[in-house]
Amino acid sequence: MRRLGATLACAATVLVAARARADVVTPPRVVDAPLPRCVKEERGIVRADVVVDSAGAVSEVEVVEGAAPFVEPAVEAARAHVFEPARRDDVPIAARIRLELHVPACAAAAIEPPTTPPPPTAPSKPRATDVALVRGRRETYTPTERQLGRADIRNVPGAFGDPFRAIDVLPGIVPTISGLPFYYIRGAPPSAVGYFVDEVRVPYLFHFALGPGVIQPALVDAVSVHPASFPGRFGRFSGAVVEGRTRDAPTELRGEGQVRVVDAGAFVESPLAGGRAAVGVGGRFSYSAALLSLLAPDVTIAYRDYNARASYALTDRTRVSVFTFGSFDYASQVEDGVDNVLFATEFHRVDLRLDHVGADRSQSRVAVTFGLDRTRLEDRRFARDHLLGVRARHRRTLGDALEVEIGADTLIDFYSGDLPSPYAVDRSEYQSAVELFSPRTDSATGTWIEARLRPGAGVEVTATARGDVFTSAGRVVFGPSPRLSAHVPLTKEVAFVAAMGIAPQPPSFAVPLPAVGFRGLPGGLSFGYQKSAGAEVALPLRFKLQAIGFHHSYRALRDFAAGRDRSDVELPTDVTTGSTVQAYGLEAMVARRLGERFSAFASYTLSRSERGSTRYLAAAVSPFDRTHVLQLGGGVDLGHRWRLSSRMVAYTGWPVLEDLASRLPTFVRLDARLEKSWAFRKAGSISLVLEGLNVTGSQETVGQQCDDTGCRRRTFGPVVIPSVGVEAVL
Amino acid sequence: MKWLLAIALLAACVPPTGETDPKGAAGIRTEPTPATRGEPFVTDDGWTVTIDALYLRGFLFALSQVPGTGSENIAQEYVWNARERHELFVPAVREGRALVKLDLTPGYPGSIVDNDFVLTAGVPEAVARRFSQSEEGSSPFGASAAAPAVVLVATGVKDGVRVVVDVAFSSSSDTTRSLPVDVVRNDLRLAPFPVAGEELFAYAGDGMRLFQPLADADVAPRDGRVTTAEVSTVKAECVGRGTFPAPDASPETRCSFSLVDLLRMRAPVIVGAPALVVGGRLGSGQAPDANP
Repeated sequence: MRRLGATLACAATVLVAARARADVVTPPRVVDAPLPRCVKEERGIVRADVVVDSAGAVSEVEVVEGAAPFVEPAVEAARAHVFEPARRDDVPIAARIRLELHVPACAAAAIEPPTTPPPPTAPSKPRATDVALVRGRRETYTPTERQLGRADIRNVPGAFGDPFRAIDVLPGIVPTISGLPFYYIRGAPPSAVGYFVDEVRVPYLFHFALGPGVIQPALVDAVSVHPASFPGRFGRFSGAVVEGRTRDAPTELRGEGQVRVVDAGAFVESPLAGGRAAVGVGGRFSYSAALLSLLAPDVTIAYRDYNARASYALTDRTRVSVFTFGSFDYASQVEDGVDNVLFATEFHRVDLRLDHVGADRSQSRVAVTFGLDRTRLEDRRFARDHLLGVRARHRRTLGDALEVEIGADTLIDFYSGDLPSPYAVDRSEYQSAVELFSPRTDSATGTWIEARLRPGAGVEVTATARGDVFTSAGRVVFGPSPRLSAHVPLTKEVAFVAAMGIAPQPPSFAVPLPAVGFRGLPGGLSFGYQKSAGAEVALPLRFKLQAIGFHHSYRALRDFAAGRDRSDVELPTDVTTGSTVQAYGLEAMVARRLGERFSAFASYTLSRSERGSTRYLAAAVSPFDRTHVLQLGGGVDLGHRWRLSSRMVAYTGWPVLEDLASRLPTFVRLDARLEKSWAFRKAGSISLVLEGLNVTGSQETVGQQCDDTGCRRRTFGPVVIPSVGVEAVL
Repeated sequence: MKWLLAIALLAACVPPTGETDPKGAAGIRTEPTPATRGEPFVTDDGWTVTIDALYLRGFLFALSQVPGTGSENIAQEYVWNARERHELFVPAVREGRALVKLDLTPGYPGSIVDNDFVLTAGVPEAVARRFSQSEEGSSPFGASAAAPAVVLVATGVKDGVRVVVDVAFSSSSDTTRSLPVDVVRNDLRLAPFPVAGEELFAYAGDGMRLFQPLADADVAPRDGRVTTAEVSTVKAECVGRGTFPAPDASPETRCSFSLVDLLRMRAPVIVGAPALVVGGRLGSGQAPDANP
């Protein structure tokens, strides 16, 4: 800590010094630019940001535009480029530039050469601000990871441009209730899905109910869903991991803002100190409370968040950053004159990190995280969790075909909470509160080693060994987590992908509540046993098909295993100990990138989730099971900067609790988005966006109620979210 | 930038709104009489009696009188040392007027140690075990399967004779008085509640406190220590002054009491119930089914 403090102080000093310095920067110059190999009878263009290190080699490649099957040969070619390094005052430095790589057609090129020769592979003309030092780090990808980039995210109808809402277009994401950002992923309940922003665990990524993500879209580079065998840096969740990655520090002023009917948000970030530093700040504020007071006076929904970060390049290879963000949510409904608080919570995070890229292209990160979670309880009481996290990892290549990462992280939760008056609640409730909220310290410490083997073109095998030690109230438990995933091309168009792993998790509530957790690891760890395999197929017209079959089984998962009506927060032991749940099915997605002029996608999940037997219940279908989840959507550029996109979402109803062989009605909704944009200054734009979630006004059936007079369906909604927004991009 | 962050952080505080119904606790503060605390007293038949131990078991009820809360009558079962002062209460009572009432209702056999439903106060483990077992002896009210409501240890001394009564028995009536308490949110409000252990000895129904019948029960064996089994063999003749046993009942029916039955009927009076209108005239010997 002392060293880190000294480093930060040093960074501040350098920041001041850098302001007075007038740098002379020359961009990198191409020495050797091999052509990408051809892959099929079409030409393709791939744009990629590459980091040219101070030795002139390409150390990182990030594709910003392009699709399969062109990306792979383009990346290979980009990595083979050789440059004369960029220089600052004649000193070689690392630099990031954008390459446009033209992948030639194979047979067609031989028969019918293009009338105009393809432009030579060469770096785009670098801007002065492009020449930068290490701005971030490129994360590794796993074969089974599903990622949405910025261009895709923006065009998902019903997601309101929000990166984290857009993930529900992906297969395997089974909604609980339409629009609610709580998902079952391969049978794993929301409590078993971990949310991370730049590796920092957050209790949730979305504002309450239909709210947007808690991170400004302008900050987000990509969102990934890891349904199985997630990277070694993630652990402690039995189900899946949703990861948000922020963009690198900017090279020029950039910003985005949205003004919508229900909220407004913006994020502005600017380089400083000749590009060595960057500072950004933003946030979102909802005025839905005022709006709802007109439409539904009994309901109150409010949310707001803030994001800010600053970074500074201490050296060519070392950058120190601080990233802070937080969120607040409040929802209540007046029933019988009593204001029932449905959800009132907030969290705050401050993450300090030091990134270093070695001369050998190795990457290292050391970071410390401080956090506060707070959840409102009854009668002005709060549950609190002060967090302290420390993590470090180091990745390097060993030879041409092997990359290894080692790392360790510790997260300490200092839980506390206000107890109710022993006179105001009954004894059992008081004892439960004592159990949950009296002060305690929980910890989780994990270490991992991950090896990524690339023995041949396109072949990738990732093996991870991770182990976590959990402590709580004097109890210590070890959770091993081995993982293996592979991507093996079978032909030019078809690749085999597979993943398997074991994922331990400490006990948690069925729906994650910030600052509320179980004391003493009751019932032991949950375990997810993940197995999946399938294929990726490159289709004509740049469509891509991915079909994955999976079977996940779980032990001691905390879920509403007894039924959807079970929403209390009892200790989980009686419900799930010894119970194994399983989910199996098929996930398929056919898509053409949403950022293209014409885009389309079909996402389908066929699955079955089963809860295991307990002392009181026989094994049966999960009360949250949905057999089919289908989404069809697409977008079209109408010209004159008009773009229209739409999405149909349909899924099977839940099983009827009284008769599990029957189903509630299928739910179908339509989302639509229409955007008109105008160019603004040199590279910016202003857009008017009309968007609606559930424009069909569909009502969802969530249960049925039976009495002497018969059974009646219990419905929810219709939840229709219209949005008129103005978005500006600098 | 500073002010922007400050506003963002300030705005992120959770508002302290939305509350549950105001509730508090209502109960009693037991106030044992001097005799109950162990000061010797003299019975009408000349015995000097000291109450060495008195433990009671009963339900404390809180009946909210707030309009619209008719169904919110809640109770807590207690076992406590009646020789000491204790605060017995029922939590989560709606704010406003409530009536508290203590019934020495027979409990069910079963351990009261680590029992989620029974609170103990000042009860040693050996006594707790006695409350966990079925009551000895028979009862005309079918309470033979009930657990004791009273554990009494008293020493009587007269003319150099020392007899210890060590009995455990249930209570045959839940008729006790109700006391008003004004419940205040998150607070405990108590009504003073006298406990008069010496009232047990007025079991004969004529208002006189007697020890001699208890001393006479010491026959099997005659060791100076009177047990529940011994007391249950002492026959009592009904006087039938009230509604029960019915005045027109046959003598056999009316006279099916034993001394322990009279103690059961007298037990609620310890905690303020009006004296039962029935009583019994004690016989001079063993009941026909006495077990020597």
